[in-house]
Amino acid sequence: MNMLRSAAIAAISLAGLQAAMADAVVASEVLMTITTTEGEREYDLQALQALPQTSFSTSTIWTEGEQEFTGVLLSDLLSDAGITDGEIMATAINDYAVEIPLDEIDDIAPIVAYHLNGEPMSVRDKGPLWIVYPYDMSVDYQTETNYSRSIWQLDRIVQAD
Amino acid sequence: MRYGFGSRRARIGLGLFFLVIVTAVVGVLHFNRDMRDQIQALSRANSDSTQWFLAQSEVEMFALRNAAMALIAAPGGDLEALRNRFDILYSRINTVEFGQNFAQLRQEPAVATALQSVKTMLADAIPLIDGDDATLRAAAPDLLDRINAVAPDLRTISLEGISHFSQTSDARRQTVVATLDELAGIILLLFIVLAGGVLFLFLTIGSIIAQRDSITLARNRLNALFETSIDAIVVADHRGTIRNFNSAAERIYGYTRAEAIGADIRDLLTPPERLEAVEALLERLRRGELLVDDNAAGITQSRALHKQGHTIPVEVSVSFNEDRDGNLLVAFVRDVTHRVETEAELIAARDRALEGEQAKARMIAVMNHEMRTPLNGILGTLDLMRDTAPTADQARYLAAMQHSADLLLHHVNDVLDASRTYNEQIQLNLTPFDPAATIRDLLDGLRASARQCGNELTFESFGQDDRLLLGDVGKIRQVVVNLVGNAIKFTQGGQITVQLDRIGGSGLIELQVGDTGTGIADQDLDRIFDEFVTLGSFFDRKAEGTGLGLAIVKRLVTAMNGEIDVVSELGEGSAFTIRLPLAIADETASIAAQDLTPANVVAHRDDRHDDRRILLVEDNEINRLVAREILKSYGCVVTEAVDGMAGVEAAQHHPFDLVLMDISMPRLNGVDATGRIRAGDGANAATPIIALTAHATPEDLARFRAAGMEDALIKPLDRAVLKALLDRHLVRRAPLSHPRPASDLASLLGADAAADLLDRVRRELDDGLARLSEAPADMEPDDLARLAHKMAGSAAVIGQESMRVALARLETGFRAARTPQSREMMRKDASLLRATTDCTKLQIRT
Repeated sequence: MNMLRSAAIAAISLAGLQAAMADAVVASEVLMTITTTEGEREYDLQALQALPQTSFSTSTIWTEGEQEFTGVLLSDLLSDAGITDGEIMATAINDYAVEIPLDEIDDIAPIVAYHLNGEPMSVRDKGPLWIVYPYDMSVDYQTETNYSRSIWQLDRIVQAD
Repeated sequence: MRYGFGSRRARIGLGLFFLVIVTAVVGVLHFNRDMRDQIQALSRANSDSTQWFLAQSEVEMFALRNAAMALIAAPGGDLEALRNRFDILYSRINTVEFGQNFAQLRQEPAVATALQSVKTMLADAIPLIDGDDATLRAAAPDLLDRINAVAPDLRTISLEGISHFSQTSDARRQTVVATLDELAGIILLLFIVLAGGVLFLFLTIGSIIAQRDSITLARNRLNALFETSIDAIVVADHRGTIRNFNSAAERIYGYTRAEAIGADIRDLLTPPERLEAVEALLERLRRGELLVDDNAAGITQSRALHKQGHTIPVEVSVSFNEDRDGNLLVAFVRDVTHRVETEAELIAARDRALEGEQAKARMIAVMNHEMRTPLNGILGTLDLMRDTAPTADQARYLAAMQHSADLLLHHVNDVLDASRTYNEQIQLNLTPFDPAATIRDLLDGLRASARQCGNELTFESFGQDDRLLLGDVGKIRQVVVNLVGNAIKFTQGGQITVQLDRIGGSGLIELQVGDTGTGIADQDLDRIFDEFVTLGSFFDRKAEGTGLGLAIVKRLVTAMNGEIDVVSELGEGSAFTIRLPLAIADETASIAAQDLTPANVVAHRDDRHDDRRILLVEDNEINRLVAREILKSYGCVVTEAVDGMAGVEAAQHHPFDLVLMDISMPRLNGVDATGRIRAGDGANAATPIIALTAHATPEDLARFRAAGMEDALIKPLDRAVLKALLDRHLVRRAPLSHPRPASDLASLLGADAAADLLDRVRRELDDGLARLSEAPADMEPDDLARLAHKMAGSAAVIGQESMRVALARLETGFRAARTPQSREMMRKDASLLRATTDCTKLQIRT
């Protein structure tokens, strides 16, 4: 399992590097806001890409065939925003919302993906941000909780009280 | 374990247990894959909330419609909301179209049609949504219509989804239920197996506990036995290391248990002289061999080494036992100090008694030889002096000397007679007596018992002669008592008459015992004097006895030179008549009481033995002189030899008519010399040889005969006796006192008694040889020699000459066996004789 996981991390890192190079032309449009007790913070693609990049390939139950996702680890994003414990409420454009406890996220999954197969995602493609797990890596990721937390069209995260 | 899992039932139980376990394991393994698949499937959520998703699609559709309606209501309104709502719906429909969850749902024809319809609407709307704002604003009503047109299609998809996913979920639930049922079944089976296993273990443990308890009890009992044993018990392994040591052992050996255990049995408990034996025992133990018979049979006499260095006499019994790591030696040791001391005291007492006996025997030997030899000289010389025409005074002195010497000889002989315990020959003790008075007195004593049987006992004496007679009163009494006793025994309410008749003027008496009893049948009359004869039907139950009574009477009468007759009529009575030629007491000057030769001497003084060649072997010069002179007086030609060697030498070359052989001589004694003469091929191998001896016991006489001597002449020499001997052996060469010619047995004893005798001799020889060949420890060499002698005599009686010679050799051998080695050699000789002779098949030989 550990070996498998290490191999996956290596693959993700490599893929991330490629995606970063392909994304030269991106508008600095605000993609999401993170609201903490301190205040509100906005992230555009550039800001997200400035954070450590993670990439993996997996199939999902919502798509056809294997897809390559590139993005930032949710844990990295939250710590960048200054959230280190407690829970967050992640909400999509259509107001779909789900709570995620911080102690259930780690340095492997989930990520906030901003590229699908190296391309930015439109809203029609469940973009521009999509919380995904490497479902194929382990059946442990193939749970309804994880599916419910896999929010597409993510546009805001609020630190829960 | 042996009683638990070894039993048949337990084995079957165990087998069944394992069989069930294996079955369950196979079942579980078989089930396992299926089960794991199920668990895998359940653990993986392969669906999001699909029905919510479909319903949400409808919601998004309505949101889009609202956005469109809002735009229509306010044509200058925000287009971005509409575009956003379109994109959201689009992404959802896209998911329904491509998502894995909906793959099966998409197969439903109604769903496929509806989805196609929605997709077409969305695809057609894209140019409007992505077009410029003016066009979009203008197309809003049209868009609303399109949206409303696909609303039922989305409804259809949602409803179909409910139906589809309910069915899927039902099917999955069924599978899970079935799987859980199977699981429950397997769990139940496993439970039963485990319960069975537990029960089995419980039962097994129960029996194991019972065994453990009984083993504990047995061990406790053994321990108690071990500890309370009076005998020391020492257990050692094959290396000789002491493994156990009980309290009796502590007492006997002086070591404590702690000191003894672990030590070496050889170092600690074994005296040096027993080391070899113990080592041999341990060697057998190491090799796993059995105990040798000596040890296995039981008790070995040994010695134990005490802690303080002294040794203790012990009895040891050893056994070998198997143990986990090799065999064990178990020695039971009993302290026999006390018994050995007692035995030693007994042995000392016996030795003292034997010393007394030996002293007595030595004294008799001194009397015999040291006193009779000079007496021999005196009497012989006196005899010779009378022939030298002495003066009247000298003759008187000679008579006085002769009287004194005779008296002295008489005393010596009395002592010798008294010391004799075993004598085949009847010695007559002649004293003057009145026969009528003696018998009358005797009958007075018997009258009472006669009356008990209703018999009248009367005595009559004829022939008025009251001179005393010379006779052995004891033996005459014995004869009368026997005859009268018989008469009383076989007569009831009758008359018993004893008549004494003195015939003529001589000492001859005739004694008749008559009765009116049952009488004796004619055919039995001939054998009633045989030894051991009882007349079955006639001598009925009243006749208790050995059958020796009349035989003894006959022997006594014969010994007194008398004769006995019987007449009887069956039913009328019997009459026994005895005639005894007794001497008149006054007239009898002297008696040759010292004569030990079988026959009484009737000297034929007139007879001479001119020119008969006699070899005289005698080392004593005086004896030689006396003998020579007496022999010469009868005209014999005498050759003298001074010892056995010279005698053998002389006998080798010159034929003699008779050899007189002294027994005790230097260089070679008379017995051995006789043996050489008989065994050699010299001129006198068959010449009669007469022993000259002061050794007068019957054993000695037998030994002389065994060596080949015909007769014995007891010193001191008496002219009359010597003359009688010459008469006997020079006139007729046949040896008289040689073993009785067997051909006579039947005629002497009667056929039945002879057969009986043969049978007894066979048994005696058989038993005797068995004893000799064992030479039991409790028999001294002399005892063995005596036994051999007695057997030789018996062999002679039935004419088994070679047997007699062999036994005589054994007798000589045993008598000379003073060391254990020589004794053992003789024992082997006896064994050999026994092995080569079947005594039970011996026959009377002529």
